[in-house]
Amino acid sequence: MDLEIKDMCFGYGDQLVLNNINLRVAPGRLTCVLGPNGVGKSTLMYCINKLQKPRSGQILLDGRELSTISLKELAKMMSFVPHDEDDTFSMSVMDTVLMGRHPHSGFNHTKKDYEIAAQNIKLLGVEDLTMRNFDELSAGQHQRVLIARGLTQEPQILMLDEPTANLDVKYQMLVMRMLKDIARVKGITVLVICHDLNVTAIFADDIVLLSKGGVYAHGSPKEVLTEENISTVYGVECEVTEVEGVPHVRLKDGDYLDSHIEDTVKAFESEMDPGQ
Amino acid sequence: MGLRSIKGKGIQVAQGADVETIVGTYRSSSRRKVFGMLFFLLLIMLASGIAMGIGSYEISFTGVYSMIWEHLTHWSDGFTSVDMRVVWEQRLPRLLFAIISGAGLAATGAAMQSMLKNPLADSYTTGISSGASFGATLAITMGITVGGFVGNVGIVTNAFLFSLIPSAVILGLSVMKKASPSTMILAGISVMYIFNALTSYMMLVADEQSMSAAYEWTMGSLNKASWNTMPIMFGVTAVGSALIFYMSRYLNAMNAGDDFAKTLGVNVQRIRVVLLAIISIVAASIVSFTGIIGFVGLVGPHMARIVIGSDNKYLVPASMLTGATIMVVCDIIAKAFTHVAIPIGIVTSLIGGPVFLILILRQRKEVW
Repeated sequence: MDLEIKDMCFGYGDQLVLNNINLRVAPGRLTCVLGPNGVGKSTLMYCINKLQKPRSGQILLDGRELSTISLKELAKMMSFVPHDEDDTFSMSVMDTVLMGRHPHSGFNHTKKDYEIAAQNIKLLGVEDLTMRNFDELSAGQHQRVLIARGLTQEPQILMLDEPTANLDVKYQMLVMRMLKDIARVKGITVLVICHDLNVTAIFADDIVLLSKGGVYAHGSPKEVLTEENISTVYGVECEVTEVEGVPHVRLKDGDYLDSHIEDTVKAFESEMDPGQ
Repeated sequence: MGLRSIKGKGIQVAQGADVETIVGTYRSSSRRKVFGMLFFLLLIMLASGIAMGIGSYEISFTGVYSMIWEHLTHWSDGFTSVDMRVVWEQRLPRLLFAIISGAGLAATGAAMQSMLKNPLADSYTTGISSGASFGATLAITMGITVGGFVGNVGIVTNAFLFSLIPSAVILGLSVMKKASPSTMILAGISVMYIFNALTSYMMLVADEQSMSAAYEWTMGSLNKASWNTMPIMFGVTAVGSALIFYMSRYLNAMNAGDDFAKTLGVNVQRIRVVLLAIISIVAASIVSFTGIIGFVGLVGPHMARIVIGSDNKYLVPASMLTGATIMVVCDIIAKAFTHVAIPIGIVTSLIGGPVFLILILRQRKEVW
C-alpha cells in the first residue's frame, strides 16, 4: 500500500514537533526512519496510525485521505508494533499474538486465526514460549512476541517502533532481514524506526533521516548515510567507508565530545558546591 | 492435575514445534479452562446443598435437593411439608441471592479491573457502594427518598439511584476530559470520600434506632432475600454479565493499553462508556438489595486469574463462578459457626482476606 504524506505539521500545545513533512513510502521495500532522540520519529508514526491528529497537511493511503478511514477499517490494513508493552494483567504469548486477529475476527477465533498466529510465532522463533505468560519474558522476547502480533494482524502497512532495541546482535540481524523479506515477498509497506546506523545501512532499502522536525534526507543508504549528513543531524564526527557496496559508519571519540563533557562536569560541580 | 496447570503453566511447546502442535497445545489448554470452570460449578452445587441445610434446624443435603425437585415437578401440589416450605421460601431465595450477588459483583469487578488497567478496581473503588450507602442512609435516617417511596422500596430505590452518581461523574469526566484510567479511578475515589463523609454525618445526627438500622444496611446481608425482588436482580445481572462476556475481547485489548486497542480498531472511549454504564447498573442493582458486600468484587476475579489466567473470555465467567463460590461458602460459615446472624459482608472480608493473602504468598511470582 502506497503511503504518502503531504505538508504535514504536528505539535503539542505551542511546540511544533513535525514541521511540513513531505514523504512518500513505497510498498515492497523496507524503509527505515533515523534521527536523534526527540526529533519526532514516533510522533510521525502516531500521526500515520491515527493515535495523533496532525494540525495540517494530508496523509494518503493509496490516494485515500486518512481522516476518511475509520479506526476499524484502518486496523485491517495497518499494524503498529510498539517498542514494548506493559500489560496490567498479562496473558499467554499465544493469547497476546492472537489479539492481532481482532480486526479480522469476531467473538470466536477461527481455525485460520489460530494458524496465522502460530505461523508468526514460529517465524519469530518463540514457539517454545507459546504457553508462557507475557510478563515472565525478557525484553528481547517481548519484542519478538509483539512483532509476531503485528504480523498476525496481516497489514498492508507494518510500522515498528525500534523493534531491535532490546535484541542481541543475532536477532537484530534476523529481525531486520525478516522485515526486508516480508516487505518484498508480501509486497507490503514496512516502516521501521531504527537507531543503529550500520544495521540500518545493511538492510534498509530506503532511509528517511529526520532532523529538527523535518525530513533532512530521503534515499538509499548510500545517499543518506554520508559523513556530512550524520555530523549535521546527530552532531557527531564519523568516518563513512564502503564495505561490499554498503556504507559503514565508524563513530569517532573526539574533541567535539569534550566541550559537552566539560560543561556537564562544571554544572555538576557548581551544584555540589553552591558557594563557588 | 493441579489447579495451577489449568491456565497452561507447566505446559510446554518445544522449540521447532510445527503449527499444528502449537495450535493443538493452545486449544487443549483452553479446554482445560472450561473443565476448571466445571469444577467450580460442581463446588457451588455442593456448597449450595450444605448452605440450604443449615438454619434454625438442620435439613440433610439430599433432603434439600429432593424437596426442591419435588416441588418443581409437582408444582400444583403446593408445599407438602413444612421443611419444603422453609427450603423454598427462605433458604433457596437466600442461596440464590448469594449466588447472583457473588457472580454479578465478581463479573463487574473483573471487567472494571481490565478496563481501568488496575488490580484494585471494583465497585468500592469506583464509588458505587458508597453512593448506595448514602442513598440508603438518607432514606433510613432522614426519611428522604427519591420518588417519595416509603419503607424498603424507598431504601432500595434511593440506594440504586445514588449508586449511579459516582459512575456518572466518572463517565462525564471521561467524555469531557478524555480522562485516563488512573484519573477515572481517582475521580471515583474522591466521590467515594464525599459520599462517605455525608453518610457519616447523617449517622452522627440520627437517632439511635435509625442509626443502627442504617449501620446494619451498610454491612451487607442476605436477610432481605425474597422471591419478589429476585427477578430484578437476576435479570439485570444475567443480561449485564452476558454483555460483559460478549465484550471480553475489547477488555483484552484495553488491558494492553488504550493506544494499542485503538490500533486494533477499538473505539476505546465509546466501549469504556458502554461498559461502565453496564457495570454500574449491575453493581447498583445488587448492592441496593444486599447492602455493601466487600471483597467479592475485588478478590473473586483475582482468584479466577490465579486458576484460569487473564484472558477475559474465560476470566469473566470464571470470576462469576469464584464470586458465587465465595458467597455461598461465606454464608455457610456465617450460619454454621455463629449463633447470631452475622451480616455476610463481615464474613466475606474476614475470611476472604486471609485466604487471599495465602493465595498471594503461595504464588511463585506475581501472576497478574
